[in-house]
Amino acid sequence: MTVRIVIDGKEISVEKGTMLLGAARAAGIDIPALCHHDALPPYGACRLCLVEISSGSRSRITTACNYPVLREGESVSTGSERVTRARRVVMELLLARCPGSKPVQELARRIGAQGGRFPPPAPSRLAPSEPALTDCVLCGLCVRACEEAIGASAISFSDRGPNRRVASPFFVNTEACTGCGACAAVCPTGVIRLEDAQGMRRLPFLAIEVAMVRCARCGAPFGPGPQVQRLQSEVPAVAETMAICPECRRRETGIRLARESARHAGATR
Amino acid sequence: MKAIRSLDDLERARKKGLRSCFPDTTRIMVGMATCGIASGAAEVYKALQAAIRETHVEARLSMTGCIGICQEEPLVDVLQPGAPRITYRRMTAQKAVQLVSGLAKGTLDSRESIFGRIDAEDFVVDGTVRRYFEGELPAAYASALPYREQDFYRKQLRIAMRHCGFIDPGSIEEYIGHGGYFALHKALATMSPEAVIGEIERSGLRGRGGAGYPTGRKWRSCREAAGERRFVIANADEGDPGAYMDRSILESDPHSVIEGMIIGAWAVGAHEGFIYVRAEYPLAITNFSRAISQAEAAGLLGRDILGSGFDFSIRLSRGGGAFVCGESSALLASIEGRIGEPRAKHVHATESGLWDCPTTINNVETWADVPAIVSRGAGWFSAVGTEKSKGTKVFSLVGKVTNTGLVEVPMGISLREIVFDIGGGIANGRKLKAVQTGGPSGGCIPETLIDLPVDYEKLSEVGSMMGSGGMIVMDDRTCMVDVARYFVDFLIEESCGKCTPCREGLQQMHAILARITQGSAVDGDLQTLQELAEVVRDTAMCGLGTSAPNPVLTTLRYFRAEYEAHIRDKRCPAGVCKELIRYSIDAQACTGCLLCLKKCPSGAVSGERKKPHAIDASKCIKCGVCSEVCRFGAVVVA
Repeated sequence: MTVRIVIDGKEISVEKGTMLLGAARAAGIDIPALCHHDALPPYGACRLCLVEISSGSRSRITTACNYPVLREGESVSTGSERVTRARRVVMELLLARCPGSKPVQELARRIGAQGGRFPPPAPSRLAPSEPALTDCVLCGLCVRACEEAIGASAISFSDRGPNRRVASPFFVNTEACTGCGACAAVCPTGVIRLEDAQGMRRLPFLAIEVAMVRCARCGAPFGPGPQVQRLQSEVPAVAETMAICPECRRRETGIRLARESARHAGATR
Repeated sequence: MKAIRSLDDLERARKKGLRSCFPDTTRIMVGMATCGIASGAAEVYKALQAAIRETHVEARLSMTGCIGICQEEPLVDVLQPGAPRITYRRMTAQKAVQLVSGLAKGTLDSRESIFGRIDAEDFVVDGTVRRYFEGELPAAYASALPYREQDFYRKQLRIAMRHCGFIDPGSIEEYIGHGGYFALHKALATMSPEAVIGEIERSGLRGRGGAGYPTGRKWRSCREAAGERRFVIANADEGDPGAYMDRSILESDPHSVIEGMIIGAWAVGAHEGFIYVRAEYPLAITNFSRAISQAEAAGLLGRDILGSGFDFSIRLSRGGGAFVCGESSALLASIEGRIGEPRAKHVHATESGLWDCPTTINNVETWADVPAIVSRGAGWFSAVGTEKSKGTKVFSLVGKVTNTGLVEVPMGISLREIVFDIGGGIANGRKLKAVQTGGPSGGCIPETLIDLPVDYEKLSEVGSMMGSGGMIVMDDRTCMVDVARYFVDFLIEESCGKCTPCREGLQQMHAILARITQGSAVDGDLQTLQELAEVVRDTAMCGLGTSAPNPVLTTLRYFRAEYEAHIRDKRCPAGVCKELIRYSIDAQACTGCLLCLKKCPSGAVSGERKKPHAIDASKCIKCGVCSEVCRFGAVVVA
């Protein structure tokens, strides 16, 4: 069943229950968001995707990412005065937290928020220079990707309120991490980085390191061990292929293809 | 206890309960809710026990709950056949021994220990009154002032707290003796779930936990939601500083909540219930757990309740000390075993709550009201209150007021009546400045609005809220900027940190408030504070965040001049903010008694006997001890 709504004067028709953020983006209307990823259920934490929804004479501010379109005829404004002010203040708060973060600065510029009004926060149990405070916006994408998409639950939030941070259990290396790097892939600020060196994959922000598996042919480290093992056990068909590094796999495939095409050419001549 | 299967069984249990409540011998009851125990009731109980044994006086000793006037605890009640019930206040072990030896000799204890007397008991659920004695009042008791004639009790009306302080919370028989579980029988035997919901809807009962959502409507939407499995939950995660309504009901009358929950479960079609109690309420947990076991043993919980074929059970879940878990979606997450964080909800718990099943969550006080409504009818309940707020509400009246304690009042009573009539006015002859209602995220209502009728709408119109019923009275020595800072500080500690406005916004609000109280605020800070508070209110994810700016917004609205004095004149008019005040001694008033000099922890006071003292500002740490100990009002704070 479809529902018709109006976003910024544009009438659109969407499947009932579609989240507003997705509906707007599909219609080419951009709404900024930090904690949203299409591969994950909505979370509603960053509060940047604010919109004003009017129905009759009543209007209210809400987040678009987790607002299901259910009622016919609702009118949505993504840039009303109320929305713009609220979004700007929320962005200012994030900017005060992460003044040096390039992606945060970039988003602030897009939204039209300037820094300077609020000082850096000073939580009681986080050091002022801690990357968890200065580079992380606590969008939770990494935590949710790890738990909901990968099923590893290697990282989570620790502490609460101003001291909230993303961490591995007890802030030490954890065997639950498969080294897949999904957390780094979804991180909007880039504070989670993968460093592959000397046969190890390191995630410095999370104090996690995982041994890389070595190629059965050339012996070079090529992928995080636990993730490779998991793929091998879950998809036995690729177990053998997964033991070889992409480089050797490509070479072997090339050689095989060349041989086959030579044989094919010989057969047709 | 034998299982109760029918109305006859229930009647038999009632008779037994009445014999327990009103024995042929003297009955002595000690108020043993947390308020009593904190004041030493356990020692009093032990002393009474020993004294009764030694004197061989014929008396039955038992515990009871909180009767409301907590500041007079420990309270001991004596009920003798054919005589009114006498309440003794501020009891000690020594006084307890005297009391028992007086009883042995047949005399009343000294008059100053008597708080008051009760001549008759209201049985609220069946609407009867039980007089303690027939005919004339025995002359010996005439000097004890009846509760009904006392300021603290005159304007109170007890529905939710109907049994608190009257029954032994450890005795299911005494609860049944007072008409308990008859409403359950009425609902199961004579009313359809639809009829129960209709009755609750017509009663006008609204959620007592804060938001005031119509209870009947909530039940209906839960009943109508699709799903096989359904839940009812009692929210007992009471965490507002200074508020203890729910604790008292759970400790003093746990069965009223259980009965309400069973009726609610019948109405919405749930077979499983939870009570979520904060772990810091050990006595409430003990009393409620015992009550669950008793109700199970009596066949009032479990399979085929009262022979109706209806099954329902209750489990108890302990909260781990997070204030935010009182918020319904965080509470659900916590019961499910996940981190107690709110989730954004555009779908109500009544449709998708605990483990995504339709769930009805009501506050303890709401549940306690239910049996009385089912028993007496919607019309009886809705006769009390205002147009949109029916019935009564329990408040914990605390702060700078003469009488502190738990009060249950009809909706629509004015703040003035609560503070000045029931509360006895402002303590120590000071002046009223504001009343803070609704807990840490409520608002401060100024003295000029003291005639405001207390109901859901009126409180939110002035920027505050009903909340769960905290009521803090503030006098003219309270700095409203400091109050706002205090509450914001509390909420920063209790924020889960999930959404940006609550986590970051409260910290920034606190930083501005701290600057103001320290005298380092600048022009523009007030506008920033106002804008920030409004944005946090409009954009935070859950009720904690959206209501957190209330203390700031209401104090800005009603006490702006006080903010401006801090900023512009670097002055704290109430004499509270340390950075902005100075202590000095009025040489005219000072008698040179040396007391402040001796008490000063930093050696800042100098002077000789019988000569005016002086305070060295460079040594003064502004602790205020000199001002507290001075008997001549010679310490000046400016």
